[in-house]
Amino acid sequence: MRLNEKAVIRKSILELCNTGLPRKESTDDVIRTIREKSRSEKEGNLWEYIVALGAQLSRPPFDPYREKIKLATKIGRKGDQKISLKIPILIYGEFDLSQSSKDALNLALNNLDDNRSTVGLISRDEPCDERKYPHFQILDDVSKLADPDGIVLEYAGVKTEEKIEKIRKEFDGPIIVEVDEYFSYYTGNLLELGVDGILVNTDNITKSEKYDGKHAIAVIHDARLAINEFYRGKENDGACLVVAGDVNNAGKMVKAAGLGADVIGYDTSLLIARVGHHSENFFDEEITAQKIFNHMIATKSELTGIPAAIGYSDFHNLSPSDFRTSSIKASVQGNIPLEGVDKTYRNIVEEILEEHINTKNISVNQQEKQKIINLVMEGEN
Amino acid sequence: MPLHKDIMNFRWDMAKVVKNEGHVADLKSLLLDAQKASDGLVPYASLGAHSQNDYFSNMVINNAKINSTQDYSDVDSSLIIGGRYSKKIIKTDVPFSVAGMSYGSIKLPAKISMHFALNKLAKNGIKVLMNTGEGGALPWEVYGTEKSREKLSKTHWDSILQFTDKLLKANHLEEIDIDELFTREYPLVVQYASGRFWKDPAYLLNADGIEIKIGQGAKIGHGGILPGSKVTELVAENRGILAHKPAHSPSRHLDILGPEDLVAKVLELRELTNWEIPIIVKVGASRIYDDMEIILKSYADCATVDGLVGGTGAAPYEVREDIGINTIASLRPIRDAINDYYETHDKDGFKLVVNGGIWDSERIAKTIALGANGVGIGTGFLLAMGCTLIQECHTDICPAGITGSHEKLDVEKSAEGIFNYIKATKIELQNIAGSLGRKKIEDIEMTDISVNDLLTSIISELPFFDGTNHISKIRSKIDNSINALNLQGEKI
Repeated sequence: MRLNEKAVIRKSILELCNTGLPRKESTDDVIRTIREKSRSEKEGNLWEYIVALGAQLSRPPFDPYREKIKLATKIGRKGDQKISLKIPILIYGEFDLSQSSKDALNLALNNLDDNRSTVGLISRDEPCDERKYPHFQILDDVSKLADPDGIVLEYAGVKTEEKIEKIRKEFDGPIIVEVDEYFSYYTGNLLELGVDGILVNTDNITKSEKYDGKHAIAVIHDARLAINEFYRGKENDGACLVVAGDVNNAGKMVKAAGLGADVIGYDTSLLIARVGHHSENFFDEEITAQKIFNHMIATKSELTGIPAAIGYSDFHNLSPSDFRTSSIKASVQGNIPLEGVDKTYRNIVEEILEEHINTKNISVNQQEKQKIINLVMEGEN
Repeated sequence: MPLHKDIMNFRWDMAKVVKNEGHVADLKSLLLDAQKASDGLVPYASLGAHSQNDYFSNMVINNAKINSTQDYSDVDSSLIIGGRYSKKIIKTDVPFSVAGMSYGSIKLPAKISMHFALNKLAKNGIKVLMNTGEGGALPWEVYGTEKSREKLSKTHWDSILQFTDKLLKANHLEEIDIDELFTREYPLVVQYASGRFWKDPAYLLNADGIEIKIGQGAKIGHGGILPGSKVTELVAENRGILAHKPAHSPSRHLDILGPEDLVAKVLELRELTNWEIPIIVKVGASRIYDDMEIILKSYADCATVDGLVGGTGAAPYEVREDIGINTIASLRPIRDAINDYYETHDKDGFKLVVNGGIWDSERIAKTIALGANGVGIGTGFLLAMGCTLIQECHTDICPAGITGSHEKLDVEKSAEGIFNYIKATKIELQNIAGSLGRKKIEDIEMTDISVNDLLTSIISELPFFDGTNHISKIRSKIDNSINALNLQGEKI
């Protein structure tokens, strides 16, 4: 319930309290009118329409205060070159940082590693010598390969595939490719070439024509499908999906993980490094590093608390079946079951279509059925 | 802890950077980030989740009137809980109760206001059930009847009075008459939660019912929380815990890990209370079909289900927002579980109470129409006492003096507000049922309700105003698609 609706309810209750008599107006009618007026902004942020199913009697919850909840993960498909993260986060974003902000970030990431809370960093800069955390370097020019722990390449067609082959000759660490909106066409090729992970930036991809009007959840869903398609009939050997963009709080991260993300590309630490200080104060590297550190420790606690409440002792056990939505649009885009009925909107349409064509004796083949369903789905997008 | 100026400033600084980068700043999210950067702790929240879709307002009770010139006061608004296995029943005169809000989560004057209001209502022929919440009960709740005091030794009674005196003095309420205070005329259900915040067995033995709290809508799978700032010396003494330290209940009962453990616990409590009082099991709405199936087989008399927007005194922000399903959405799987159970069992007195986002007569009627026997109200009572919705119940700064102590709550005025709220809601409910031609509130049915949106129809199985339902709406979309694709060669 939105705050303005709660205000309507408050007014109505005060009327009851003051008079002790029935009201003249139905409050739900007033709320309905408010909602109809704001229909244009309805369902903008689909994250807010997705919830997880908590554990209770049918599955006991874990206790994040008293039991260990695993967050750690590894990036890399080859056994001896995997990179370990204690928190499944790679700091990544498009905020330009001054040198002092970068120093604060470096200090914070080292402190996190000292506190068994290692996260990684993706950046264009050359890796810092004193780092204790894994650094993924975004590489535009193969000849400028420094000494990173991992490499990120931005997909640029066949050239990228050639680059991968070239880099592989001299670099054994994990390679992640940041893909564009057409990832579903070439993810298999990249994985075939030995790429260790696919990075989707939902902010960029949802701005493309292909994903016009779609939400981050559609991108994550499709990216996971593309990876799963490559592994159909065989076991995933560790190729990971890194999701960046609109995943900047713990709730979104958990939902993204449920939809298929293995690692989160997270930019809030960069934002804190950029702001760095109270506007009235001078920049203080240690204070800024402490803020980045604090923020990540709190986020870590949130990331353990939510899976524990869902009934998992491992963050990476989250799956689509743990989530429900109160939006048809979210169900369509993320293939998420609707709350209360435990079926996706697609499932419901399929069932009704099947019954409808039988009743009306309509003759359509499987391909045509899918076309009909897809058209109904498009209408809800 | 109240928000510090530095946190607010840091939030604005972040917002400026985000805006300068050409993005829209989500101020609420940035405030949480600023808090986390400041203290390294998980941010808390209170009251209910900001669910974007609670469905209630998409439902209309056909041709019902909350305000009528006709007298419908003979419409039966009572609710009976118990009798399925318990020897005694709880009979209330309204199908709604005061949901669990414990001392500590809310302040003493607010607890006393509710106590006095419910006593006054009982004297006026309206018995309303009160749930203690998980933080134990106050002395006058446990020993508020003559029978409960019969076997007390003088020493024990004196110690109870001494503690009561301390409570009243600390809240400047010494003028309250002790005899009046130690009179409880309404039924009391006590919560048996994972934290076991009670130190006197009389808490269970003197209750009219026991509710085993497995979970609540605002923090399913998480366990209760009372922040350290709210654990005063007296709250700590009442709960038997350390003062000024946060009270984190375990996320699960350490002796209830599965269905068979719940049966054992219900039977244990039944033996303890000589099979006399009703036993209720409370869960948050999540995997609700499965959980209901377990409760139905557990020898409980009643289930309480709390939807996503059910309120709380404190919960981790992300847990409150992101775990659990909405109240209305939970009712279809609950109905399915109950119907499936009674396909192979004889009907008995099992009851369903539903909480979460319900606060007025219309929402009570809608919930009952969809299968509930009664509802619990929490936030509604806070509003009746003057809650201003600043949603800082987890801190100690409530300006209304309900969940924080910065101002003293006017006990008399608050009690009057609650009295009027309940009285008027009862009349409205009787008007709704009466104008529908029903003799009892519990007779309001699904056929009395219609909806105005597809999703609400899907999740509730209710029809639209024009008599169509979600199936016919989707069929029509299918026909349009067939025509658009020209699959039939001719229009359908």
